[in-house]
Amino acid sequence: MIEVHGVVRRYRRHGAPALDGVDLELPAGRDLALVGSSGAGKSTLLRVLLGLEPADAGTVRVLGRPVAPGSARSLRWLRAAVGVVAQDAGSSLDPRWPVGRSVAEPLRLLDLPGDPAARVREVLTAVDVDPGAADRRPAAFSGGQRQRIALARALVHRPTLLVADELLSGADAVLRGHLLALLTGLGTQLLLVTHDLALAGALAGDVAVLAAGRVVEHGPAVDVLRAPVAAETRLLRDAVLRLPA
Amino acid sequence: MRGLRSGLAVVGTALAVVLLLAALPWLRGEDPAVTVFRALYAERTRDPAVVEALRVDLDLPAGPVSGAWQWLSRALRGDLGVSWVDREPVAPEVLRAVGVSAGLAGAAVGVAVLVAALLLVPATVRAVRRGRPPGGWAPTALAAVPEVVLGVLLLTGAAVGLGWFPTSGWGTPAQVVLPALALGLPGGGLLARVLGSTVAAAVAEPWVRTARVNGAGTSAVARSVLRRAVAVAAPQLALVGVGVLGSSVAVEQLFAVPGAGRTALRAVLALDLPLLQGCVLALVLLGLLVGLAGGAAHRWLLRPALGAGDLVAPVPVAARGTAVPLVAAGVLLVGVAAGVLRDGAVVLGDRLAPPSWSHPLGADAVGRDVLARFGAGALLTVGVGVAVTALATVLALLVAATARDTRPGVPDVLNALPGVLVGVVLAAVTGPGLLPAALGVLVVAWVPLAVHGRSLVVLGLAGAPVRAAVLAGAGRGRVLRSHVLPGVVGPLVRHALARVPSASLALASLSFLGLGAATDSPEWGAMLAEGLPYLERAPWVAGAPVVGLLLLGVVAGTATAPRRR
Repeated sequence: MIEVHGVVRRYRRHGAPALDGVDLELPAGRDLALVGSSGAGKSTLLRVLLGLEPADAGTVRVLGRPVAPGSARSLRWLRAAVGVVAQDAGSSLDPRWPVGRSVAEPLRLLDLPGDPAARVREVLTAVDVDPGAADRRPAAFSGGQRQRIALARALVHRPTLLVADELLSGADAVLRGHLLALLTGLGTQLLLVTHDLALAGALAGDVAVLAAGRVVEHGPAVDVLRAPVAAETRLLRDAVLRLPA
Repeated sequence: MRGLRSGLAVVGTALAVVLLLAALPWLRGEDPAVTVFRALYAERTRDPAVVEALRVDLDLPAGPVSGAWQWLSRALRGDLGVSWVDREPVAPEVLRAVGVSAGLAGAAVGVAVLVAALLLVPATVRAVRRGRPPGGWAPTALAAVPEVVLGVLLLTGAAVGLGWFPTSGWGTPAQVVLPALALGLPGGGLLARVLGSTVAAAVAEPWVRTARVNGAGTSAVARSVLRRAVAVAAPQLALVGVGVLGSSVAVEQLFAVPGAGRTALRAVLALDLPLLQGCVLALVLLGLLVGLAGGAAHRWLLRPALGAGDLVAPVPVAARGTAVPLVAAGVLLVGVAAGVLRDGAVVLGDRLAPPSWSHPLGADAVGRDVLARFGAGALLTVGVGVAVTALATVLALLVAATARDTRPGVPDVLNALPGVLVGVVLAAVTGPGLLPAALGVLVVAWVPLAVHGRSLVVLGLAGAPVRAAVLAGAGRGRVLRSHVLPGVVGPLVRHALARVPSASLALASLSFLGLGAATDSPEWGAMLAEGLPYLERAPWVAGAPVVGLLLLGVVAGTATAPRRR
């Protein structure tokens, strides 16, 4: 699904690069949690992966095709294959639009066949939002509802891969559990970007740990959590809060 | 990269302005030699031999390119050519006129600074003591008075009525007072308004409270607040200076001050294009210099790399919840409605009749009802203002849609050109008329709207809905149309509405100078000019347009353009 080889990304000519030779492979059908503390390079890697920024060196392939920034038309295949929920998912809905229109936007942009209204109803139901409320504006919904609507929008065009960037970090604990259950029950391959190692454990997939622009650890979640090799992973694991027994 | 592009745009626009000025004699679509012939002999039958003799005599190049080149290369050596009318060299005349204008502008800025200080220092001290932003209507009221109108009022009151000061001329200190007041008082009001809003922002900053809690005295804190306000507002202060330069044309004409503005006006009316080129070049260079100085002062006072994109006219934001603009607009509307229904026919027996039941606002020099002309003029003055502003809004929207960042570009250079000056130059190309005057106002009117729209577009492009749309496969055009521009149109139209009166005022001052509506037209500026000779015998003739323009000024000064926060 995703092959990243030796990717370097530098913002300033001198000084440490944001990505310092990242290698990462994600086979089709397997979920991945990309974990790292702030400034580790998660967001930069994601932007390169989504064709929003060029890589200064190395190659990025998705579904076997090279990814590089370009016109909306030249990146259409990538947009069709990948759905993205951003960190500020709720505010990504245009406040002037009824939420149904926002959810249907990818269908119109990608010019997909079928009845958009029916698909919007279907996907809203899937994320547990009343499809009858699709003609209301975002302000009429709670923060948690808006996040789920944004999720519906990322799924509406049936992407092969769903990228969720810190989707759960702003949510309260109850909402988080709910969203996590929703995500894992979708049947879509997941790339979850997070600074919280505990979340990675909740996904039955792989974990890749990013530190200072490199992948320092990559393997099945159970193994990485049980016996971390890299110092950064141990730091992240020890930072997870637990309730006293 | 972007900084380079922005710099190129700024330099390129400035060059384009100078090149247009250099090619001015050819832009009329007429052989300059013929223009000279007409300037000298009016409508006499054109003799080809005389035209050829003029061409050789004045050394007129054949085409716009060689002509512009010749003018530019000579101008760089300080030679601005010879006048087409009296064959005198232009450069010394321009230098003398600019000296007068600079003296007047200096005196006006002095008045403005004094007025602003008198208004602002006590307000700042009170604001610091109470920990609340300064209020007060005085700056807004002063800034609302159009310079020409204030000039006419001063002329009527202090010169004609009381006889304290001479009505015209230049040279003695007494002759400086009235024109400097006419230019400086509104400038001071504007200055106090701009500084007042930055003072309000500075007073709300956390360090003020910290300083107060730590026992700093009122005067010490007030001094710091003022210093900070001046630093932030420096570019806007420069724009006030540019505004004074622009308004000086009308004020110089009113008080017969032989400055660069009046000389330029004389040159346009006499078709003496080399003299006009010289005067406009001097005024434009002065304006750019003042603008650049303001930007430099801003950067020097505020070391952090704030973008020069801050060099913009302030978006008018009035005191909250005031009914003043509505009341002023209402009074205006009632007067206009009463006038439109009346008959404005010439009745020679009623010449200069004082106000009475049959003529509520009196009658003018040929016995026409002033109220009727006032109503008819309102449709012209305000109607053209609305049309110009609507066009300016569309233009601004188109320009803003191409924005990628808020670095300075074409609008920021045009911002430094006073609208009246642009109108003067356009009148030289097309001849005086309402249409070229409206075009001249349009050239400048779109600029502040474009700058505002540009920042709204950049803000919108950075928003989460746009990022999400891009990741769903939308390109720039799609994103602009569906997510960004719908959020720009509303605030921009509200801003444009608040600017309609100032477009009307610029138009009126061009008409007042004889470069807009025909002298016989009821357009308020033209009406004001028509009424001036009768100021002593029949002040009501000039009174109606004065009140109308004053009310427009109040609406312009107090109408709100709400900003999205």
